[in-house]
Amino acid sequence: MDAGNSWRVFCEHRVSTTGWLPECVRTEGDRCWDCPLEDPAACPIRGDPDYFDYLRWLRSRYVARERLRVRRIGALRSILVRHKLPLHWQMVAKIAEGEFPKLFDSPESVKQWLVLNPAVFEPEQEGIFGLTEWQARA
Amino acid sequence: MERDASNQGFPHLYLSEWPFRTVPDDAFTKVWADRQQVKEHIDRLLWRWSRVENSTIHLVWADLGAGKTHTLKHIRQRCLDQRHLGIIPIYAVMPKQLRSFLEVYQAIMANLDLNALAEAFARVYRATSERKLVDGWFSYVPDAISALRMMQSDRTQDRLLATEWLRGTKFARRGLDTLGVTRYVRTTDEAVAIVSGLTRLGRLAGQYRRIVVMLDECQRIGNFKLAVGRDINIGLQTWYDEVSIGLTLVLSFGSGEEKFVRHLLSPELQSREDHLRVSMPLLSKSEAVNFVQDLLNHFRCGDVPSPWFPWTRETVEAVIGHIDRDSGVTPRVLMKAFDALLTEADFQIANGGQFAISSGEAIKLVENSLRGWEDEVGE
Repeated sequence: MDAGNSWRVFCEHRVSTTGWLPECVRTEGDRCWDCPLEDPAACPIRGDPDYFDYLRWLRSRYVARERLRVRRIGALRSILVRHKLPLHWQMVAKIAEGEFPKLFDSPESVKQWLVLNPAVFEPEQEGIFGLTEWQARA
Repeated sequence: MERDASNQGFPHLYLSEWPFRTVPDDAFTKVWADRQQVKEHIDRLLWRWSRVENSTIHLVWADLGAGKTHTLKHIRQRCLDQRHLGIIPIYAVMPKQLRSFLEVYQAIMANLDLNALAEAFARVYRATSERKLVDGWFSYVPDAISALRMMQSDRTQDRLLATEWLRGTKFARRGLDTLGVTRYVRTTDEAVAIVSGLTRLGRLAGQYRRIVVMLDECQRIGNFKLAVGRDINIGLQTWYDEVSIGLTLVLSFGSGEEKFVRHLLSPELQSREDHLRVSMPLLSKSEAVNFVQDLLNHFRCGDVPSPWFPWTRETVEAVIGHIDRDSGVTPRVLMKAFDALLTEADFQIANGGQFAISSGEAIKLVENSLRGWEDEVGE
């Protein structure tokens, strides 16, 4: 892989996973002094408006995904906060279906969100989830 | 000052008994502090149960620590105190872990007076017409008739076996043979058939006009798989449908929001719910002040110098203001806080004869006593 391609791969990966944009794309200017690319003069994307658009599209996709993630975690957290007690994930999914229709693809996806976010949700016995903040207080 | 608290109360505090208890005994369930609206609802429930024969389902909802269990036990006590109403109260708790309605059945059966029902059975079963009726009730589980018959046995062991069978305990073949039954209670349908038959049997024998089964901690349905929750709902609904007269189910839920209850109950069960329901949110500041005053008043004795003794009204209000912080307070937290304050007063007056505490000191003492209870104290 030549240097140009590897820079593109780096940019696309970083935009897709963190929302970061190269300064030149973000400001549509010529600011290269803080660019992580070692040799800005050899930048393969400089002056390539189509590629700039592509990176912006990747970022908008990341932002939308991130917003959805925050909404989903917030929705599940609010159910447990208001109920004040741990619940079985199937019950969380049932309540979520009623209170936040179309926010989750399926009951199983609710379980995934609970399992994959241990910073917020604390698994208890046999499919029951509470909030990690409750454990911290205890 | 020497005293024997168990016999003489607390005369130096002008109290006949200790009013602030976080784990109340049965005698304490007679006490009702503040919550006049809830008390009126209970009055209406008892009135309805004594006037109307139809079976009913009532929901009790309370915020966590807001006194739902005390309310149920208070209802039970009032039923027992007014025996002429012919209402038999049964208090049971939803098991923490279960796989079907069968465990709920076991929890309820553990609190039923099976000896009394067996006597009722023996009396009723003598008459041919009533025998046919009872046989019909137990036609789905004829083994129940065998078990009820065995309850009349002279042998204690047989009676115990029959009791355990009716309570849904698993049996080995030998035990089943001794009882003369084909199998133990295994399914929701069998459990419902037995409990329905027994509740009708007691009424037929004139043991009661109404049996009130109070099932506490029903919010635990939220901890089970949906299929298990559905099975519990179906069991309760079928029981209610089969016993159209003289049965009351009181389902009690403790959670943060009342509307979550509808997720825990099936639409079919909700459609059968009676319009009389008891709802207990957290206490407001003024309700909390009344709560403390009512408790003190209930146990007052002697010529007390001030209704707020051994504190002042200002101190009580300051403490409640501190633990409330505009989000409401639970009776449980009030009990804990004022138990600590009264313990301090008891110690100081009993040993030195003097007690004076500023609002600031009282708040500090309460803060220490409530350490670890932050979840229930307003934020």
